[in-house]
Amino acid sequence: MTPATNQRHPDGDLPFEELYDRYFEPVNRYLRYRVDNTWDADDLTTAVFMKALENFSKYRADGPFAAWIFRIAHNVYVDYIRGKREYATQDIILELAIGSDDGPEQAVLQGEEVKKLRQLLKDLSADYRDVVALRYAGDLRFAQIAEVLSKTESAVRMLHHRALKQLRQKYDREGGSA
Amino acid sequence: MTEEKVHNQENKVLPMEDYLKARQAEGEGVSHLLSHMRQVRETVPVNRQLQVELRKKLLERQLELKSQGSGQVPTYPEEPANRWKFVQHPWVKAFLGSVAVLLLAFALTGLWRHTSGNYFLEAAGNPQELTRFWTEALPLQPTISPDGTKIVLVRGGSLVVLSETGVQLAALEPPEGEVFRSPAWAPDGKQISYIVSQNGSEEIKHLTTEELLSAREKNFPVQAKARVKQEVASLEIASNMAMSTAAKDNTLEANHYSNLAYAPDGKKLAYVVNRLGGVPEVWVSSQAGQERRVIEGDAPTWSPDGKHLVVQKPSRTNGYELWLVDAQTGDADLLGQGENPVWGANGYLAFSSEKVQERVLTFLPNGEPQYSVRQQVAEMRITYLGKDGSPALKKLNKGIGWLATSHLLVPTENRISGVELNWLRQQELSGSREPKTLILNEVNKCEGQVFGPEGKWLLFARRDGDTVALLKVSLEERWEKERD
Repeated sequence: MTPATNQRHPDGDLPFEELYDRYFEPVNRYLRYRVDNTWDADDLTTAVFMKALENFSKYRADGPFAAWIFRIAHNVYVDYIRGKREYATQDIILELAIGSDDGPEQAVLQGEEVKKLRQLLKDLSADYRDVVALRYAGDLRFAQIAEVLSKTESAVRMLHHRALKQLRQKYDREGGSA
Repeated sequence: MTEEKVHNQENKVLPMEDYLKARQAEGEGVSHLLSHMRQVRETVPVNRQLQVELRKKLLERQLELKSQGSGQVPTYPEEPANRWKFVQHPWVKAFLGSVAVLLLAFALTGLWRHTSGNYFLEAAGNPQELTRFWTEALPLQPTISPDGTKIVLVRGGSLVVLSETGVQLAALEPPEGEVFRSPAWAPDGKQISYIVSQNGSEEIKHLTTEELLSAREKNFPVQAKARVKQEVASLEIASNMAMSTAAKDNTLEANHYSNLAYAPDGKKLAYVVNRLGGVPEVWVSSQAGQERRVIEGDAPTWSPDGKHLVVQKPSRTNGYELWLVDAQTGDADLLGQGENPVWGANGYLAFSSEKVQERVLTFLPNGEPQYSVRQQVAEMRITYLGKDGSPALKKLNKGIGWLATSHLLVPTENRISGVELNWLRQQELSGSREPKTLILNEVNKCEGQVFGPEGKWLLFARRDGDTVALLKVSLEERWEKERD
């Protein structure tokens, strides 16, 4: 039975392959942003889409696919962090990321300023980090972040506002050259 | 826009011009920040190769699922059953809403905070470098005065006194042929104990704080040595235990002493004895002059209750592990991997942990790593042991891993070194774009950590090639929600 069209999100009419093509990039970027170890981030991306495929019938299409897939991605990330606390003996750090035509040395130097900001982001509390990561790495809207984190949109907006405020203070204190 | 910026102290509204200026400045700050944050996103590459491979894999899996009849074609959910429609009634909704609010209030006030979270100590900001020295074979071994205003460390066999900001105040040079090591400030702040090493023989000595501080003016060096014993003798601890015991009768040949550590009450002194060809042992000497071996191990640190020690021992696999030891009986419980422990008066234990780190310096356009560096590095972690170590043992007994009970305090230093930049330059000049890994043997080691008064800050040294930096990091306690 097809649900009423006025409650159905257009994403619900798309096949899984098309949704995958559309959301691989934000999900992979989100996980690579949150997880220092790039190989782990890619493994997690694989796990997210495998789970999504196997549970695709549960996607009710009453909201955007972005919120649904990012809820899976966020849960996978949280599980990973829990496990990592116990086995944090070896890791691989995403020092910075470059996909440009610049020489490697130049690219490394350019990344220093960005790295400083990433470090400040890591210092935020868990709630703030979640919101900032979903907003800026996942490129989600506030309503979608609210769905992912099971919070109200206004609560997410408030967290975002406070996170930016705190970040700005820390950034000024650390002498950021924005 | 903050209220403070638009109102003066008498709560009068500022002129519009000032308001607009302040608003513009803040707006610019935010827009710059947001632009930087977008830049952060843009610099995280996407693994295109994975995208293609995973797509294939997903299509295969989709076919498998279809053949199993699990229906991968989206099955759209059915309309909610009619029986739930009564929930839409405004009165029912209001009632359910108020019940939910009540339940929420109970949950929030009673359980949530106390059952699903933990307090932990974390760094408030980045470590600040106080000063930097050329690297020597001997570590800096800093010790802090109980009031936190002075630091004593070892340089070139001398005891050097620094202010809390890293300015040198005094230096006590040893007589020719002697070397000073392992200073430890007594908890009452009146004296410093240290080891004097001469021609293979060693002894533990004590010196009043006043004498040490006046070392520069009085050109203290060598001549004052004989006097030291007499003056120290008047001190509480020195009167009984001092020189009489371990080092007793002075100079136990072939015995090597290190890591002096006073118990919080100042009545016991732990130290490490290393005999030629033997393993290091932790000994404790008491005020009454008794001296006793506690356990094999190194780097002892006292619990706040003065009844336990944490010591490090070589691990069976690699590196070191930490043990909680009863200072009276020597009974020991394994805590986990770590070295250079220091147990603060507030119950937190800081320790360093070494690991192999691989840093990706550059990526290929398809998202695969191009140039990487592999190096052994150290990070500082912190965990709560309480006054006697029981909180950590409880967690370990519950099966929670040691590292899971600790938090990262000071991460490994990830700045690009000159060696790495030179290597990158060589790669660029050679025109090679093949993925490569540079293996560095240097260890960016953290050592000599020691808590400031009341555990408000932590001092530690970090070796970085030819130099060693003395760093101070402020600490603050924070509550963390457990994520379920």
